[in-house]
Amino acid sequence: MGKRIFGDPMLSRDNSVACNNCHVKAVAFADPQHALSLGVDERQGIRNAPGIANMAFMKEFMWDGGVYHLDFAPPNAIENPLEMDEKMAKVVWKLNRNSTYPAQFRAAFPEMGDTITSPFVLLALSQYQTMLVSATSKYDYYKLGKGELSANEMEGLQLFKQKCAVCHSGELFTNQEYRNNGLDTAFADEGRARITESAADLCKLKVPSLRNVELTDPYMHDARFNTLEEVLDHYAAGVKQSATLATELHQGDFIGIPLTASEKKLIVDFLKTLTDYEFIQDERF
Amino acid sequence: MARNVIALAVFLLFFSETTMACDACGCSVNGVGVGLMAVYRQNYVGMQYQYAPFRSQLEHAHGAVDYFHSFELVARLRVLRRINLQLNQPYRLNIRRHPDGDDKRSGLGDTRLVAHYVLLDQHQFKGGLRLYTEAGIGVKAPTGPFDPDIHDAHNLPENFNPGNGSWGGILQANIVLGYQTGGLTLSGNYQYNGPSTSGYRFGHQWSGKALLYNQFWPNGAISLTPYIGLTAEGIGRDEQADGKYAASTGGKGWFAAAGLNLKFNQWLLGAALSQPLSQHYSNAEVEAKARMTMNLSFIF
Amino acid sequence: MKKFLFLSTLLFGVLFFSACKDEEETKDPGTLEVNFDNIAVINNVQQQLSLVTPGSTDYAYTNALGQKFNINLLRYYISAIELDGPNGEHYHDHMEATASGSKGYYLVDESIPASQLILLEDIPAGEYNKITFTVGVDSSGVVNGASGGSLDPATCHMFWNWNSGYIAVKYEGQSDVSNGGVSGAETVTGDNPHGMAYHIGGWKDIPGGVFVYNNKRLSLTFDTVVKVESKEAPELHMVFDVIKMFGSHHNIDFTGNHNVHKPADGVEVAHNLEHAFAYDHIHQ
Repeated sequence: MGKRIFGDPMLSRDNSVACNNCHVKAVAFADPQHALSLGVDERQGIRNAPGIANMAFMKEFMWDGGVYHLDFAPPNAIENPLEMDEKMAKVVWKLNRNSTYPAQFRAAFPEMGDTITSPFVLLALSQYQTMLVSATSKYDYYKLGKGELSANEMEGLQLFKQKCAVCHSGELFTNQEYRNNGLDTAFADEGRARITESAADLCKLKVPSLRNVELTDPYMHDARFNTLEEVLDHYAAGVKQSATLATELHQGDFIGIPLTASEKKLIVDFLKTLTDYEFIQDERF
Repeated sequence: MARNVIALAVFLLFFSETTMACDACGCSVNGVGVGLMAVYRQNYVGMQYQYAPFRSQLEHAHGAVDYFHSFELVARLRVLRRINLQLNQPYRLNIRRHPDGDDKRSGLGDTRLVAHYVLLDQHQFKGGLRLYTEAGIGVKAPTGPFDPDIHDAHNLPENFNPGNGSWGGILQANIVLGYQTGGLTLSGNYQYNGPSTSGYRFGHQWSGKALLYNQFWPNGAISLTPYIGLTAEGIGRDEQADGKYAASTGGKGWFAAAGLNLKFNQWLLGAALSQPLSQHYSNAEVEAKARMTMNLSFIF
Repeated sequence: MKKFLFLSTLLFGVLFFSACKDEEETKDPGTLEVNFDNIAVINNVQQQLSLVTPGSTDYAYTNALGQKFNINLLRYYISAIELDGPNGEHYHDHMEATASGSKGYYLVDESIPASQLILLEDIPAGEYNKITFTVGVDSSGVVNGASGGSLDPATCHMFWNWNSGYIAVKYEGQSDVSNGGVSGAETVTGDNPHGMAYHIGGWKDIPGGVFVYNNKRLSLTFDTVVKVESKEAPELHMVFDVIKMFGSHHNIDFTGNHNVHKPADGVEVAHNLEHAFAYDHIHQ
């Protein structure tokens, strides 16, 4: 049922936009078409829609981590005038008037009572999203000892661990912390500082998980890079200094991550092994 | 002579106002008015007026002063050698004075009927002391109007109603210790209040008094009997229909009382004052002020 | 004769003293109705609040700086209520935050009289002389995800989507000295030239962040004790003074930031809450 709601445009003001318009399964629940997704009335958002995978293992959500629990993620999209421009209360009203949702909700949530209320809508969506676990990529099979990586991919993996994994760490490929990765010197987006109200966090945003990164282009919060190559070019030579720049990108005199052309290529080869074809074709999702 | 003195003592107890006070005060003391003693072989009928003011800090009162006026018809009739019946029928006028207007409730109060049995009819001791004792049992009928919504709909306390809306039972005892022309009268009173049809039950009431009196004859036809003493009254907390106590009800107080009866032939005229000495009414939200009674009766 | 004498004296004594003995006290738990009365204390007199429609220039209230204002909306959460007594009695309200409902979180709304009465139940019998409560919703109401009842994000109008958490106190109204420009308010629009919105919230302790906890935990002692047991129906009356919310520790200036939607911006008003709530009286 959560899946049904996720795909239901009824959640938007004019019944035109559903969650899966900007979070498309085929690209690991990112937006396949638009750098900045389009909401109702073709309104353009301000940040790139991130992929939804492995949410069950994440502590905070959204680029600035303002959402503390997965249940509270959907209202941001639903009530944002640029996205679905609808009130949660109205969504609940629409669901209650629908011919089949009430019975589905009652069957799914015996403790709910007769009427659908918003917490159960959010629960349904969370239960669906937490099912979206991506752990069957080529890399995963290699780690489980059930598959192999090519020589290039292996080298890429070593380079990645050495140069990237300080932030994109662990099997989730993120340390779930907030970093300024030197995209600009002047900031249009205050980022994490909006939540912590601390100037020390200006333009820091969440380190995203790199799983399925091959599919979730364009990259960065404002979708400025179209290819992984551009991303690595940025880290190698494009990192800009600012007061809150991540210390990991400022080791000694060099700002950024030193990468040769062949190193970049090997890293990209490795990153492609994180693509989980079983995940994006899973009938359940 | 002794009989006359006893008769007067009876009137003292009967008409001394603190027993009537229980009837009216703004703290659910819908009193007894039966603090009377048997007239030794004498019947009477009379009217008593009582005035009892209270300052109220109860919810919605905001310091208003409540005035309880009671006009009571009392009659006593001896039906058998040792048994007499007494009837009390009050008419009440209760007024709350607000800066922007008055709230009034008036009507007949609840009727009381008590039968007394004379246990000791002027028992003589050595040295001239005489003892009279009677005990009574009676009933109070819900004849007075009772509005169960008076609090929720009109912001007045339940005891602003002229009646209790319920049946009640009464127990009474009176003792007169006489010596020559004077003496000591003691009386005790207990009224059990049943629940009204709305389920609201006023707290049970008790009162007692001890009065010293002496009779004088300034000229032949008229006798004067001054008296002085102490009275006490108490009321249990009211209970709502759900069995919980009603807020700000119940209380007790001690009063100093003094009065004067004037008798001429078969007529008796009396007046008395009582002043609160210590009190705690309605969770200390109600303050009883000095009370006054006056009465006129015919003895036959 | 002697028997009669004895009996009559006994009867008198019994009647005279019968009602003096106290009724048996049961030890069953009881209830306490807590009333939150929103007022403005003007010239030492408590005045009931009157809400006006948005846009009204009827200014009934004046803050500590002499600035006139009115009120369109006033709402706040009271949670985690505890009672304490002089003999060690203790009670804490049952707290629950689940999708099917929430307990122990009360949303007091000036426009909804019924919301101003909080009935505490199953209080152990005894005497109590102190109440402690939180103004706002702390982490317990957020960390377990979406909750219903008074915490339902769709219906409470007190939830920050962008920074998961509950607004503790929401005030909206206007002042003739405010220059308006309010955004994200429930009743006051951006084109209202004198509008004001104070949304006071903030519960997150973010490591390394500037921790602003705007919920306030207050303890207020009574001037008497309240008796709680099954036969009693006592009421506790508390007051919340709007004038003190805008002027006690800090005097809030309506010409300054009157469009408060972030924790840091609400710190001064939140601090004032410590003086805005008071014990008033008890009905026993």
